[in-house]
Formats: sequence, C-alpha cells, structure tokens
Amino acid sequence: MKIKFSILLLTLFINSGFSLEFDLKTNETFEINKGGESASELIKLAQSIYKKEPLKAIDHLTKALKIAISKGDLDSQIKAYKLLGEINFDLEQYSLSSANNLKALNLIENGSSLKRKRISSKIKDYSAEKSSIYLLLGNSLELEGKLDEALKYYQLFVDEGQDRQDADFKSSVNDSLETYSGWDVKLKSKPISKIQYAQLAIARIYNKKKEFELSKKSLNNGVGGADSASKISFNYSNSSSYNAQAGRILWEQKDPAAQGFLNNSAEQARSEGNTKIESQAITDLAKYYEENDDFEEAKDFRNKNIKILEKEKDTAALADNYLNKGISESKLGMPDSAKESIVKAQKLGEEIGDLKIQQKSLKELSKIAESKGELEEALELYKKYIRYQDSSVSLKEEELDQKLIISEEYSKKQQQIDLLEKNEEINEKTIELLRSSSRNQKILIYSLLGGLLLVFGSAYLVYKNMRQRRLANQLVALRSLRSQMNPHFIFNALNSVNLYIAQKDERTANKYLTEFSRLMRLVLEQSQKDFIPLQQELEMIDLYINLEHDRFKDKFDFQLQIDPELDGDSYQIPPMLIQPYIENAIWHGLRYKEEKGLLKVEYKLDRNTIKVRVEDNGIGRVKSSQIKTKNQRKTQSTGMYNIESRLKIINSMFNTKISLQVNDLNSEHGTLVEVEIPINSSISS
Amino acid sequence: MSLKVIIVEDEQSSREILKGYLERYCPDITLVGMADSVKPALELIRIHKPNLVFLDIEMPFGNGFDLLDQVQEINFEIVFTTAFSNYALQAIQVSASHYLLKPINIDELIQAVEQVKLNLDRESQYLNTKILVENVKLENHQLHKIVLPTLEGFEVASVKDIIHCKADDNFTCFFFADGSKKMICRNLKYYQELLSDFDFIRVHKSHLINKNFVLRYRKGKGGTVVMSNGNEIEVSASRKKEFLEAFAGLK
Repeated sequence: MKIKFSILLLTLFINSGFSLEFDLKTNETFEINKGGESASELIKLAQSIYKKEPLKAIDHLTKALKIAISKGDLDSQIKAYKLLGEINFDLEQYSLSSANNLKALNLIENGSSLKRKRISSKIKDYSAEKSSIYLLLGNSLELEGKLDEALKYYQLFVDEGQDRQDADFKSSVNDSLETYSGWDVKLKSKPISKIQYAQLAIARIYNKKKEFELSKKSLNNGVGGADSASKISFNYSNSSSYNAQAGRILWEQKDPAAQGFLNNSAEQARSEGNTKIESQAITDLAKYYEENDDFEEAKDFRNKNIKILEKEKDTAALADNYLNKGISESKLGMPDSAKESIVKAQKLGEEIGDLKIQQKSLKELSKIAESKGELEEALELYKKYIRYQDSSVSLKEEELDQKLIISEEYSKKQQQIDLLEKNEEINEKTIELLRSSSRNQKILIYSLLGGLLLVFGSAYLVYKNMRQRRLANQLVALRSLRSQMNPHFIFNALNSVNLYIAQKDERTANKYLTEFSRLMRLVLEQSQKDFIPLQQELEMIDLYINLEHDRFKDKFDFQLQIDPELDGDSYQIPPMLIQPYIENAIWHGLRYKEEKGLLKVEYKLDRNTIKVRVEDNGIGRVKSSQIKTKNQRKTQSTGMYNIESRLKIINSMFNTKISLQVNDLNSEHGTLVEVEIPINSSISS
Repeated sequence: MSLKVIIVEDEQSSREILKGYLERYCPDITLVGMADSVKPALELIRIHKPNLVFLDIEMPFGNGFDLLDQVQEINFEIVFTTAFSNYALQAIQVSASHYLLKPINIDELIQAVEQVKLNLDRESQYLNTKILVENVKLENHQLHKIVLPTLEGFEVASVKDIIHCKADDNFTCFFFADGSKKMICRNLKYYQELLSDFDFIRVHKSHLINKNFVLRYRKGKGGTVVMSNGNEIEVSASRKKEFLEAFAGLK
C-alpha cells in the first residue's frame, strides 16, 4: 500500500517535470514555424527597393530580422543590420546607421562564439562585409561628429586594405559614399579607390582635429607617396577628384601646396571633360586666394568658373560665383562692377529661390551702397536683407520641421527594431530563466523525492524495529508466562513420592518417581518451544492424568479419548495449554466432591480444528470458590489469567485464532472447558 | 546361569541405588564390582570378564564411549544409564543397546536384565555392543549400522541400504537396496525419530523415505515420489512443504 502510493507520487513528479520540458520545446518550434517568408528573401527584396522606397525596405528588414532572430539565423541578421545601416546612411540618420552597422559588426565578430550555433555549419567569411561596414561606419561617425571613432574605423579599413591588397579595396567608392564625402557636388570624375577615399577621410579628420602632420601623411599615403609627413610630395594622384579633395584639405590647413593640387585637379578635370570637378577645384582655388586676400587672382578664377558654369547652366553655383566675384571686386575697389556682379547673383538667387544667396547679395549691396555714400539705398538694402534673413530663418525652420517629421518616422521604425531585439533578448532570458527554473524545479522534485524516500525508509525501519521489539517483548512475556506454570507439578508430585516413601512402598514410589521424571523431561523439553507436536502433548497429558489418578484414585475415574483421525505428528499446538484446566478439574472440582467423579478429556479433529474438551462433574467453579479462602482464589486465578494472556500473545504473534471457553455445567455442577485450535495455524509453525 | 555384572557410575548414591535394586529385584545376577571412572572400570572388566556392564555415559575423566574405545575385546553387553536424553541416546538406540534413564525405573531394569539373559545363549552375543562401538567410531552417518528387531531375532543393516520404510500396524516394513524387505517389530514413529539424522523424511503418515534414493517427484495435491527401486510413494498434503524444503537445499 505504502509502496504503491510512493510509486504513484514518483510518477506524478517525473511526469510534471517532463511535461515542463516538453512545453518549452513546443513553444520554440511554434515561433519558428510562424514566419512564412524566409529572412534572406526579405533582405533581397529590401535590397532591391531601398533606394526608392526606404521605408518599405525597412519594414521588410524588420520582418526579416524578426524571423532571423527567432531562428537564430546569424547570416540574415548580419545582412539585415548592414543593409539597415546603409539605408539609414542614405536617409542621413547617421547615428542610427552607425548603431546598426555596429550591431552587424558585433554579430560578425561574436557570431562564432554565440551560444546558439544554429548556423555553425556554415560560418562564413565576412571580411568583405566587415570592410564595407568599416568604411560606412567611418563615414557615419564622422558625420555624427565622433571623429575619434570615425578615425578608428577608417584606419581599420585602411589597415585591412593594406593587408589584403585585393580588388575590392581598389575598386571605386559607390555613389552614396561620394555624396557624403563632404563635397557639395558629386564627384563623377575618374573615380577614386576606396582606399584613397578612406585616406582622404583620415586626412580630413586629422585636419579637423588640427593635426595637420598626420593629415598630410594620410594624404601622402593616399597617393602612395613618401611617408614623410612634413614634406608633402606633389605626387598628384591620377584622379582629379582625389587631387581636388586633397587640395581642399591642404587649403583648409592654409598650406600653399593646396594650390598645386587644386590646379592639377582643375587641369585634369578639364582634360577629362569633367566640368564639375574642374569648377569645384577652381572654386576652391578662388576661395584660397580670397582667403589669402589675393582678390585679383580670386576674381580671375571666379570669372573662369563663371564661364564654365554658364555652359553647365548650374545656376546655384553661378550665383555663388557672381556673389564672390562681386565681393572680390568690391575689395579691389571696383564698386560698380562689384554691384553688377552681385545684382546678377541676387537675380540668379531669385531665379532658383535661393534665399541665402539673395540675402548675402543684399548685405553686400548694402555695404557697397554704404561705401559709396548712398546711405538711404544702403539702409533700404539692409532692411531687405533683414527681411530675407527672417524668411530664410522661417524657411529653415520649416525644413527642420520636415526633417524632424521624417526622422520621427524613421526613429519609430528603428524603435521597432530595437524593441524586436529587446524582445528577443527578453525571450532568450525568459527561456534561460525557464530552463534554469525547470532545472531548479527538477532538483527540488528530486530532492523532495529523496527526502520522501528517506522519510518512508526511516519510517519503515522504525516500524520494523518497533515490531521486532514488540515481538521480542511478547516472546519474553510468553516465556515468562510459561515457566510460571511448572512449579505446580513439581511440588505436588514430589509430595506424592514422599507419601509412597512414607508408606515404605518402594516399587510404587519408584514407579511414580520415574513417571514423574519422564513427565518432567517432556515438560522441560516443551517449555523451550512455542509449539510442540500433538503427539508430545498427548503423551504428556496421559502421563499427567495417570500420575494424578494414582494420587486420587478414590476421587475420580477418567476417560482420555483421542480421535484416531488425529495424526499426532502432523499437528502442532502450544504446549501446556490444556494441562492447567485438567489440573483445575481435579484439584478444584473433583477433589472436593463427596462421591467419585468423572474426568473426561477428549481430543477431536473437526474439519480444520482440533477440538479439546475437558469435562468434569466436580463441584463446579461457583461452589469451589465459595469453599476456598480469599488467598486460595488469588493463586488460582493467576494461573488462569496467565493462560489467557498467553493465548492472546500467541494469537497475535502467530496470527491464529485459538479460542478458549470455560462453561459451568449447571445440571451436575461440573465444568466444561473447550479449546479450539485451528489446524492451519498449528501447522504453520 | 548367573550374570556377572559390573557397575560403572561416578556417583556414590547412584551406585548404591542400582546395587540395591539389582540385589532385590534381579536375583540371577552376581555383582562382581563397581567403578567410579573409566580407568578402574577397564581394570575390573579385564579381571572379571563380565557379562553385563551398567555404564554411566556422563562421567568426569572420560565418558562411557571413551571406555568402550579402550576396551580391547567386546565380550559383554552394556546397559547405559543416563540422567537425560541427549545425542548419545541415538547411537545407543540405533545399535539397539539397552539404556535406562535415571531415576531408574525398576520395571525397566528387570526387563533389560532379562533381555541380556536371553541374548547370552545366542550366536549374536554382544553384537549390539560391537555395532555400537563401530558406529561411534564412524564419522559418516550413512555408514552406520542399525539393529532391527524381528520376530525371529534381529537384523543388522547399514543405514545407507535402507530405501524406505512403510508402516504396517505396529510393525514397520523395511525396503532395502538389494531388493529385499523385512518386517521389523517396532512402529514407524520409532524409526522416524531414530533415522531423522540420517537423511530420512516422513512423507506420509505411513511412509518414511531415504532422501538419497529419491528418483523423481511428481506434483499433485501432495504429489508422488518415485524411489530408486521403482516404488511410488504418496506424499501427504500436510507434509509436502517439509518434503520440498528438504530438497530445496540440494538444488
């Protein structure tokens, strides 16, 4: 019963533990199966549309990321983040771009050491992706103003390029990079290589940091020139674009070497027919001279540029050039031609709605008017200038608002992506938590089970111990109860022997004594045992009755009837169970009777029971106790009480049902004792 | 003819009682000497060449069997006297030697002396004692010899030759390995007790078998056991357990 119960508990616990594990697994598979489209397909789709529909592309990528994260598809995650970075860059969201790129980079670098190696079978070489991320990161960080970090990534890109020397690094930079390289125009010249681009960027950054030496060194590196930083060699690059940019950097450093680069760039561009770069270089040259107060040279270059730009019909640049030309003329003390140029610039500005140009033009015109002494006109112009400034400010605000709105939308999307990541992180953490908690639960369950087993085990041991002790106690009790019966015989019998000796009847005394000793042998032998063969019991009873009869021949006759069906060797019964009742019958019943009584002892087999009847027609228990004194009664009842307690112990210890009944026979004032001993139990021991 | 008798008994009172009984109730005997231990007893036996020795089993300085060990020639009957039934009793009973339990019953004493007197004239004189001495010396129980009283006299058989015994009223029929069978004037219960130490099992109210001759056992309510001589013997349901337990140890 107990064992069954504990097994039930055990299975219950184990089941619950397993189902917990099972639940976890099903949850996971469920999420993976949810996404119908594959991440890589979505990324491809995003790639194809991001130029035109960046928002949609971001949506696709968000979806792709969700799938890739749930599947643990590292490759898709990297690609998605990289593309996101590019899109962000296109949308001028530099901090987002760098964040996404950093994520991609992080995944590439830590991918192999990630816990869940779902794609471990195809660890890819991501060096190409890495280098392109470095470059883009450098760019976005530079534009964010994080110069040191930008420098780091540019440098990484350059280092990698120097190590690898493969085609990719020499290949030209793509459009988007050119656009954000810090120049106003697209440099569609003979393209510069990515390495050169990075070197330029490094030079630019050092320039901004006022570390001109390093900047120059980088420029020199860009053209593969000598590494001496102080002596910038005029090994111009074969790219007009590079030269133009290098020229500008040098110009910004107020290094005269800038003239050389810019001139070279302009000439190269002209021969290449790349008017934009030519114009750019010339503009920079003009600016260089303007800064160095060489307004004559500046004016010449402005004129040159105006010619080119008029051909190109680049109105905005034209306006700017006219304006600057005007300023130079004004500085040269040519207010009329200056006025003419600036008015032209203002008109052109009006044409293209460029408030800045108009504003600046008005300011300059006002200055010229002032210098000419036309104060009223100057005031008028200045008021106009102020008005323009206001409207340009409001315009700027509008622009900013618009930008803000757009960037809000994007940041929302980015938030979604971030949320996704956080979700995944949380998911992972929850899973981990669940796992560890299920592990804890299991440990708890097992330790509980162990504890339970321990409790059951010790309880069982205690129970067993108690049972054993009780059994031992019972045995001791049984033994002590048994030995208490013996003295009755001994002294009664010895007394009889004494009697014969007194009568000088040697033969009878000898016979009585030897029979008594035989009886004593049997009783002693039996007293060691809880059960004896029926045969021994019968022998003993026969001897006993005969001995007693010898003494009280005149008081009673006896009949000892034994069922022939009773095989004395087959059955076992407790010893000294019947004898005390026979003794009672003789000593307390028959002995007091006036006339001769009769003792009938019968052993009978009745189906599965041995029935023993001890019947006497003596004076009966009631009369007997009336005759006796109090003390006599006490000793007698002790004997009977002993038998009853002995039977109780035997019945409980050996699981039998031996019954004993003492009846008074009213008709003849006798007593009948009936003992029933079930055979099954009597054999068992 | 008068029996020459020696009493070997360590206790003075016991000697006196036995001496008195013999004088009063066995007029045909001559008590030639009494000894209180093995050494003087051997001397008495050598000198008097008695017909009968009353021998106490438990004595200090060597017991009754030690005395028998040292007797050169067995040419007397022995009646053992002992205060309590113990291991020695079985050896005595197997050889059908006489024994008296103390306190000695006068009737039994007279009977024992009469028995010895009867044997005195026979060819099988002192045979019981010789067998007893032989048995005592043997370690292996199965080689023991047993003396079986018949109507004509007695049979001596090796325990190892008895296949089984069958109760026949108050007699017991013995089946031997050589195919012969003998009716013995004792009941089966007597031999059950006697042979229980010799691998004999009571399988039925009227059957005692030698475990070493069992060929096979067929299951049934009690089952049937087939002995080496082909005899089939029923096992009673109430003794089946005991029977199987006796064989469980051999498996």
